[in-house]
Amino acid sequence: MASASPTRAKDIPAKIVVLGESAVGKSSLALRFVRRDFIPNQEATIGASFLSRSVSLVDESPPVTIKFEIWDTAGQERYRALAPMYYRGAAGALVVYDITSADSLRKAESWIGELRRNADPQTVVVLVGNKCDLESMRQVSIQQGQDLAEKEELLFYETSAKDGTNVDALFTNLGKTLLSRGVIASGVDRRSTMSRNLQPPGSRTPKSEQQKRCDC
Amino acid sequence: MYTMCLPMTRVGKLQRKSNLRGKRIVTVYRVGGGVECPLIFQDGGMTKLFDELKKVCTVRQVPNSVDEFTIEDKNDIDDDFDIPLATQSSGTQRPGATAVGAPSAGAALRMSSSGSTAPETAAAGAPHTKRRMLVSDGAGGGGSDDYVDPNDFRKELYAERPAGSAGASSTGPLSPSPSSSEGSAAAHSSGPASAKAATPAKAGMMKSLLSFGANLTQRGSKIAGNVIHSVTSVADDLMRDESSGSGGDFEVVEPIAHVEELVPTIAHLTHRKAMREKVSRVDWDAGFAVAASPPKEKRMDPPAFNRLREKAYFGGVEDGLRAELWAYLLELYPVTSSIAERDAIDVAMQREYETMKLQWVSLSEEQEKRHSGFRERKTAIEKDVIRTDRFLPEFAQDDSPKLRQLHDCLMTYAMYNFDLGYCQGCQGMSDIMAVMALLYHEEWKIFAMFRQMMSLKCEGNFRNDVKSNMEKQLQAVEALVRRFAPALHQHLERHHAHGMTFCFRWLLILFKREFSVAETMLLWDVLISSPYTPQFEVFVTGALLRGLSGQVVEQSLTYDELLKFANALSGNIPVKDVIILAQEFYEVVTAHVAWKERLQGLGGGSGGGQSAAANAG
Repeated sequence: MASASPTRAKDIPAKIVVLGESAVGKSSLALRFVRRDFIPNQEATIGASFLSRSVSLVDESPPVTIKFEIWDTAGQERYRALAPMYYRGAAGALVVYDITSADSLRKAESWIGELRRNADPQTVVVLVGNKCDLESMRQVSIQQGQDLAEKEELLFYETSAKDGTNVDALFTNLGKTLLSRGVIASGVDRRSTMSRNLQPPGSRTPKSEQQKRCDC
Repeated sequence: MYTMCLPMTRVGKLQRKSNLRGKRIVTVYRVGGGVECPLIFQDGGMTKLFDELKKVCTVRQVPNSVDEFTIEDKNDIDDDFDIPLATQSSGTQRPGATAVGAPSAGAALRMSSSGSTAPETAAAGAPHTKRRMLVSDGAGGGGSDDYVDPNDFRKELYAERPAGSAGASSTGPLSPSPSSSEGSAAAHSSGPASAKAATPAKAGMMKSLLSFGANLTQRGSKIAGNVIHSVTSVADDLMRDESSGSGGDFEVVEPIAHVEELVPTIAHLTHRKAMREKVSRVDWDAGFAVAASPPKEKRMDPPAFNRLREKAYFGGVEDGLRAELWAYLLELYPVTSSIAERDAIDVAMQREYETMKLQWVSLSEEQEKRHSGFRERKTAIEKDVIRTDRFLPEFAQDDSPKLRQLHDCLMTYAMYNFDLGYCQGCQGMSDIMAVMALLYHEEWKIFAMFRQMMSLKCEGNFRNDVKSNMEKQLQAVEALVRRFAPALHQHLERHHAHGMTFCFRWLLILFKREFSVAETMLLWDVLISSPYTPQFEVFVTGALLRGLSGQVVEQSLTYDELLKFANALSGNIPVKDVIILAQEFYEVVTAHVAWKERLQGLGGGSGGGQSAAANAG
């Protein structure tokens, strides 16, 4: 599938925010998914970056195409104050830690807490243990990740942005979960998929409202 | 329906295309660059526009481009030429909307107030409605109740920084560079600002007007300026497809690139100027030669230095000279220092560096265990150093000496400036350090130059507080965009993007990620030599946004698309074009400020006091 396929009319947009400690592989994960690419020593994200990719879920009936609109945030503390701008109104949130860093798991827990307190309760949160190719340096066991995910009722994956393990599976299942929980809908009224009462800066303003605004 | 009024002498080129929703758009490019708000044809009418235009001037297709047209032979158009296009419009038109009079003889600058343009302002011939502010140049006489306070804008640009912020950042972007000495004040008076100060008055010489209405919707029609004033009654349904019955060649439009593949380009850079000559080794040596002191002392002559500084601003610095000149520009060496004094500074710097480095090198494991602040900084630095510019050969290998220098210098800087130094908000510092590491060989000098760069230009941006100096810079950028790219500003407001956070990276590391290392160095030549403003980067940002505003507005980029677009600047626009654009933009801004102040002087409202020149000089 082309990584930058144009939005077709039936694509269902799903805003996804990627959170987590600095250098756990947030950008690499997003790039692996969107561009099927891995750049060793990917430079630190400053501010945020935005990527998107449409994925067809053919085993859904009827088949649907989800356009993942991924907000890749900077991990450093400084940007924490900006994070609500990105996770508000998000259909899904990936909270990423690095399996070779116990610290990063603690940071993930604090992100989960913040999402619990401030994000839309419908936002589907996925706990992601990245860098699972670095087995020899592992500090966080699969069990620890699973336990945390179960306790917080999150989806859980261990991934490797480097070799691609589980990256597509993660997004595909996230997409299915979003559909099954009705967070995004393939129905006609696309607007309800993201906005609800939260109209984040990043989301598209419904055209009818835009219209009102420039007419006033 | 909307009426647009613009002097044809100002129109250089028209370009037609379709937006994502298939709407026909005509973009109006001004003579000499700059773009007006795009005209969006909801319901046909583009053909009619071109037909009418052809009656008054020559519309010539640009070779090899079916969608671009130059407008020529327009100088002999009658002053009050009106094209009654509105009579062709659909039912939404209001009578009288096309009764657009020529502006008064004096230059008039009209801007709508912060509310968007509303139908009741349709009486375009009567610009004194409450919704409009009017500044009038002498003769024409404007409604004084609508007078714009020229200080409003100046205040935004001259905004004082809170006391205590470091170095140059204590002043607004239009304030003089603190490092510019008396000599450079003289340089300023011959600089672009004063030279161009009278430009806006030329607006009074507008030859003719074109007004047309009907079937147009203009997004971002907030500006009138003396170029365009607009009256809008927006069609009921923006999404309605054009019922293109009018046919004709002009309605055939190629599909345009999807946002996903949108490459930032500045379309109207047609009259590209070349940058001026670089400061050369010969220029530099001559600066020492004219000094009054004995030649063997090698003291730089201050007036000569200021000339070189200005030359660097307009042309950059020769590669072989850059390391030496930057040491002066970033005030490592006083301009008038002798060679012996510079050697002494070097020795002291080196000693200081070694001492500070020893402080962290000698920290024992036991100490480190008990020093969380240090551990935190160390971890952050280690994480970032290994992913800084690794695609460059100098940093490619894990054991590259340059990579080691980068690490050690950042660690030492963390010890030197522990409160700021690389804790939780300093990503990006390694980018700046990398430039210094590529320019200098000795580790202590890399450190020393980085420290100067931080204290003179960047430190405020790195404070671990989102409401820091960066916020002020983003506000200054917004002020520029609001005045000089109003269509873009209105678009950004509509998408809640007027906080300008999508420019964060540009400003934080001074465009280092947007250009190659060689290009970055050339841009930094200009940034750190700028004799006119210590924050030229703000104008670079403003100029870029103004240049890109056509694309942003035409494509109706949303907040997320904007971020992607801003990040995609990387590698797509030649740095020399950016520099020229920014310098021209700076002239426009200062001329605008000077002009408004002059108007204020004429109007007797001298409460604002200082003139731009006084303030800047």
